[in-house]
Amino acid sequence: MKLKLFLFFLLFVITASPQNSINLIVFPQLVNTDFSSLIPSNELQNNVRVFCVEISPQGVPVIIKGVFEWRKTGSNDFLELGNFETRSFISRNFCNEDLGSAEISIKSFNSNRDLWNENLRIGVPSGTYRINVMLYDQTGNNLLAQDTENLSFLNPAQTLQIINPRVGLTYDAGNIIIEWTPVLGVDYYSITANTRTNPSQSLEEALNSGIPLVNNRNVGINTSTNLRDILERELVPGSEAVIQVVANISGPSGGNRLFSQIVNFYTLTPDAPQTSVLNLRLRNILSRLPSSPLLSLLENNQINLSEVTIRRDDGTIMTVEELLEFLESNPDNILRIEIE
Amino acid sequence: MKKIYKIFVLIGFVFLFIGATNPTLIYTSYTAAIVTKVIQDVKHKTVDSDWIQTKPLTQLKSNDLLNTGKRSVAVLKFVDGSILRVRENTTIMIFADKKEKGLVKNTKLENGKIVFDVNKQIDDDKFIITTPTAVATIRGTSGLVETLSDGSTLLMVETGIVEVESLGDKRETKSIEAGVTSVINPDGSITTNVTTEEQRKNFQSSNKTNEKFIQIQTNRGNFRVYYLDSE
Repeated sequence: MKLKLFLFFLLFVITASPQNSINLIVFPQLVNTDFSSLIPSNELQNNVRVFCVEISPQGVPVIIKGVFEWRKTGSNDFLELGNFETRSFISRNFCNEDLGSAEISIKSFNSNRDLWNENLRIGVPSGTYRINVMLYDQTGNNLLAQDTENLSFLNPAQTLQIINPRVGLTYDAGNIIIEWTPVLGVDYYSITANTRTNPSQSLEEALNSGIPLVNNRNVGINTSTNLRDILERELVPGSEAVIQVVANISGPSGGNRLFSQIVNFYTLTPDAPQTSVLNLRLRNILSRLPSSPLLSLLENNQINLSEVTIRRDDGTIMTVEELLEFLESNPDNILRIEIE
Repeated sequence: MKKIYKIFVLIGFVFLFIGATNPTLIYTSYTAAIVTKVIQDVKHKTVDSDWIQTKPLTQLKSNDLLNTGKRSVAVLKFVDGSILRVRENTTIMIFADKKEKGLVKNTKLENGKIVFDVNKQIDDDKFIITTPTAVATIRGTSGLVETLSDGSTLLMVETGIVEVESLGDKRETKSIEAGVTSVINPDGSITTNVTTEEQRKNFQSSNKTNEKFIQIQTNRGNFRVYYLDSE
């Protein structure tokens, strides 16, 4: 009888005592997430929720260690992106945006720089990420529980790049085609442009200062537009301008915005000679066509456009202006440019 | 002798079963289309082969895939004379299903853009274009189908009428007439609008599959700019 009572008591003690557990919850339905959301830092507070952690018991000092792994799209193996360890904190449920806060501060973060750079080049998460979280006691030596979840992104390698205008090139102010790479799931693109009045201004400062040339203009889902058609004030010839495209994607918590790089470019001075204008227009359109040595020869002023002869395949002569007009209005139908 | 007979009967049943459960094996014998023009990088893949470079006069059979690379175009002529112009960065799969009085041709557009010029379909003939969000039945008309970056399908009808059915939850069916462009959204909704001038230009530009060149004579050598023009 005593033995039965003892066993019953033991069972009661075991079931009544708090069990250490850690439960990782990720949000795999996110179509697009800022990659920095996965970087735990005391200086950088993230505001995009990617994962949450439930800890039991609560109210006791614990340490969390985490490991991020990445499997590239098309690869079979996970590679360690980095790992982090928090300082001791009083256990409670938290989400990734709490990491680095005063309450749950980061003690260490180690990363595989090459892999992070590769991810940063992609711009947003792609492939599959594996998050491992481990619950330790306050000494950091005794593992109490752990959990692992995979985080797959629906749209791998989503980036937004401005293709045209190109950084540092000079354009005819009246004919600047803005062209960018498409983003899956986009609701609409918006464009902001401004002049850069001082070379000491950063591109971002220039974009956000004063009255913009284009103020966050919704341009629909097309991936190109003529700057002239959306200008809200005059783009002065001979000036420097900056431009940024944003892809607006609906989703949880009000959706997401994917930003392109900021591109700076110049507009032609009004007193430039006609051949320079033609050279510039031809270089600009060639930069958007299949690569050829013709572009570099024009860039290095090794070809004088006043001395070239242009013929259609039936032998009839074209002027440089006609060639430019043809190329500018049919960029998608140019197959290749070859030297004879 | 009886044993051999039994084995043959068994083998016959196995083939019948495989044929019934895998229709691709039944259709492979039908030539659905011939590639009449190849410009730059065009590849195709049969059920049994890997991707191979496509040459003019390549026969495409049911379940064959065709892919065009950057700034590349293929022109296909179907057995009924209908023409399909496959624009750059496009992947299609061809299906053909023989009926008692005709042939059902189904082109599955995985991604990219195709321009169609379909001859009048008679009896059991059908010309279908399927995309991830739509099924368009064409009975003799011309136009353009393009998969858009947001997952929807754009259908522009230049001549005739196209019956389109969406595949999303809000399943809709609409007749799209000449001069109208519709967008079939992933949720199944279909929006229609009068074709804009820009969309018409896109169609005309996409219809160009005749390779020509412009010669630029310079002091650093002669260059040729190859381009696509109207047929």
